[in-house]
Amino acid sequence: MGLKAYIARRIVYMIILIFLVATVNFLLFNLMPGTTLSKYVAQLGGVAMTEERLQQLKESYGLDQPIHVRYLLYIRNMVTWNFGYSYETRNYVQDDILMVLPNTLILMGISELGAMLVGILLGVIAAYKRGSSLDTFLITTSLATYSVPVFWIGWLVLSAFALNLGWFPVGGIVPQSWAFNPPSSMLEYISGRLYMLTLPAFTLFIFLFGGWILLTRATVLETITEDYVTTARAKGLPERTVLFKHVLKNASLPLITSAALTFGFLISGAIITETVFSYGGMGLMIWAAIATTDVPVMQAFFFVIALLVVVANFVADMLYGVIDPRIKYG
Amino acid sequence: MNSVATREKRVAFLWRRFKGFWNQYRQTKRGMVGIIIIFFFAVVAVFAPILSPLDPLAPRMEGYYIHQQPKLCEKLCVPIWYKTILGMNDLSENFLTFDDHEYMTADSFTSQIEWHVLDSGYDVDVQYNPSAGTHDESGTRVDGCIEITYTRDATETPPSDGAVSVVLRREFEWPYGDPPRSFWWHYSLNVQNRTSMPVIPLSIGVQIQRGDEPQPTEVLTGSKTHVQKITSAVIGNIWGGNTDSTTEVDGIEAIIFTGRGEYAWEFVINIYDSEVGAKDITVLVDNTQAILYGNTFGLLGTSAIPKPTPRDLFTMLLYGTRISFMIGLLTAVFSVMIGLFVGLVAGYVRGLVDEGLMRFADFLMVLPGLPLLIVLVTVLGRSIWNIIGVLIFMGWMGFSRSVRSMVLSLRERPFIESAKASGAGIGYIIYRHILPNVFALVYISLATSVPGAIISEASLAWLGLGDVNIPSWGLMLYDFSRTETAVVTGLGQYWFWVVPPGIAIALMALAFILMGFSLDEILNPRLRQRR
Repeated sequence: MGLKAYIARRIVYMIILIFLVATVNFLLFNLMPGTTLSKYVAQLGGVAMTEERLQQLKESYGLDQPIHVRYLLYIRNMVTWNFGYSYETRNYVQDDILMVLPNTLILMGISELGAMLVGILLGVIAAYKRGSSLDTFLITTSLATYSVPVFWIGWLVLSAFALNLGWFPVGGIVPQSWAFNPPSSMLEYISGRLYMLTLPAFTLFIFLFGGWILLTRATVLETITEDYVTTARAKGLPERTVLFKHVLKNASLPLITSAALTFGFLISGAIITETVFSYGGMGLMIWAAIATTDVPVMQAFFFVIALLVVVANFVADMLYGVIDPRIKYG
Repeated sequence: MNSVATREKRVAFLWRRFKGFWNQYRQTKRGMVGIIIIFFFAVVAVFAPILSPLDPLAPRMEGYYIHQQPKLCEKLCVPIWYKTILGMNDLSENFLTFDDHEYMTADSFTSQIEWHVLDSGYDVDVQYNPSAGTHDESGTRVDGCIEITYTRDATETPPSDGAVSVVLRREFEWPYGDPPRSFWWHYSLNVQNRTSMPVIPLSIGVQIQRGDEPQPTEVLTGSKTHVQKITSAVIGNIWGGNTDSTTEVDGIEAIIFTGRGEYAWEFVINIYDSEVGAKDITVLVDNTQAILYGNTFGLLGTSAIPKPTPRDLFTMLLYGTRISFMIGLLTAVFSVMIGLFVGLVAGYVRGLVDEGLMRFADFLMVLPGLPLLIVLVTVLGRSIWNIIGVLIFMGWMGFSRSVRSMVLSLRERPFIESAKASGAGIGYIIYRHILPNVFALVYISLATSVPGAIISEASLAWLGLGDVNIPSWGLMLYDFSRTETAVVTGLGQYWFWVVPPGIAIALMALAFILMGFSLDEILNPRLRQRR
């Protein structure tokens, strides 16, 4: 099977997955007792609810239709990127999501990139000096980062750098002063955004880099005993060249797959980090939605994030196919 | 006879194997640290009620309280060792000023030196009545009370200032430099009015007086600033019957308390009388109690939430150990069981079953963890059992995959083939030949599933989806995040609310991770081969 057929197969698989995710999302919110409408009604609070008004509401949300009709409608809405109104903000949910999604992606991208760079570097060093006290220290540190809740790291970071030292702002996505004098140049805009990003990105970085150290160390240890590494050393290549050109290059495949597979983990971390720093992304959005049981927002949130994860997996598969010449498509 | 011998042999064999394993495990420093931490937490979890007898969620004062149990402590108290270790000697503690509902200390009220009775003359008579009392919930208590009787013939003129006053005064020594944070007191009244109409109005006031100031006859005129009238209620139109009153006041303590010294509580009872006609009234005063709340409490201070009964943070921390163990172990055990079952079946039966189960597992693995948790818990409800159920549901896939791949290689081995040839069924082969060989993975997975569950629960609680009826570490952190202090001051001033549960979560998770890591090094066949 050629590369094209492989890609086609992965695309079909991805579409099936997305379809399944959408279906699960529909079932969860519609078949479980006491959701959609009752939550909405409960949220209206003391407003007296007559039978008539309830019927009207049901009609306006299409809830008087039989379930299969609703399902088809729902799938059509998902495909056409129509998630309905938020109960709380009364905006189109898709507009809200498109507004905050880039913020989350920026946060995730920067911290994951930093964590990968630092983690892989330290992981290679740990593997190279395996058994040493440095190795022990790095492993224990990595295991420790696994065990601390990310919001707690966030709190410590926030208290230390924002409240006690006052170096960074407490929260938000743009500096408060921009309300009066917006940034004049692109440079100023970027630096302002980065300034606000520092603490959340640093928190997420701490949360992530330990995993990369452990993973890199494990994969490098597996390749470091291969014959071609011994050969490279025997040729008299400098150790650095051997490590980064011969070992790491071959160990990079599992790392790439892992980057995709842990994408969901990364998103979870980002969601929680955002709530600590009031960073206006998907996490803060779902936080508000949880507090008010804003069903359309939660539904859309789950769908969009699952979509991102599925796409990330797809991209990893593609990269895998392109990078590794040994791979048999199929 | 034979079976006993084989069983003995098996036990001896298992024991030898365990000893072999333990000898290896003992060598791993990380593993030992993990085990020691887990053991420590286990002891805390088991003995939590002994280590702290308080209620973790809604602590109240222990003791005999007629009307309503008072709260245990003020909110946001600092740990009590601030006084000794940090040398902040001025900090105040809870102070039970008096708790007198039976007046049993003497056979006659007037002989009790604790209570000073000051009355304004006239025909008022105050005495101890050992065989009367006011009611409680179970009925009348007749174990003694203070009896105030006021009688006036129609021929006598009413008091010139329109009322007769009785002051029940209790002096006490306040031993702390700081003022108390708030006051709590209770009293019961029973009024027996034998006068014909009109009704005699009655008022009762509660006040605190600084001890070195002039005597209360002046006080009653209400002009002195050194006496702080905390409350005063006119209980009008009481013809007869009982009144119970519990009152809590804060915000004025600093006006009265200037430091260590003599203070006095006073119950001021006024019986108003300005009309002509005979008067005959008896007031029974009972169940007088007063508490001054200090600004220190417990080993780790107190929280600010929930409002009426702040929680003792040390107690919550202890009980949180139980909850975390429960969540971690239940989730680990059940998700490992499901994963083991699915992996065994998929790996051994193969074919369509394998394909179906593994595709399902793949699908669940694609779903993002935290968002799915959020959605499921929102839909199902925020009880701890739902959370554990969802965590189990989402935790078995990875393990089932590794079991399956192990089984796939095992089933082709010669000893399985020989078992098949001698007529063993699927169940027997899986149970006797395959299961023992994958059990190493079970131990590893048990240890490594725990931390994820503990941290997930804490994260859910932080997002506001935790179970608020369970004293978990996540709830402590969530409580803190809901207060304004969290936003304004960060962790600094109230570190004792946030840092201990965070460290506890991290330590427990780390302990299981360390244990899993060491088990993995010893038991994982893949890693073992490499050595």
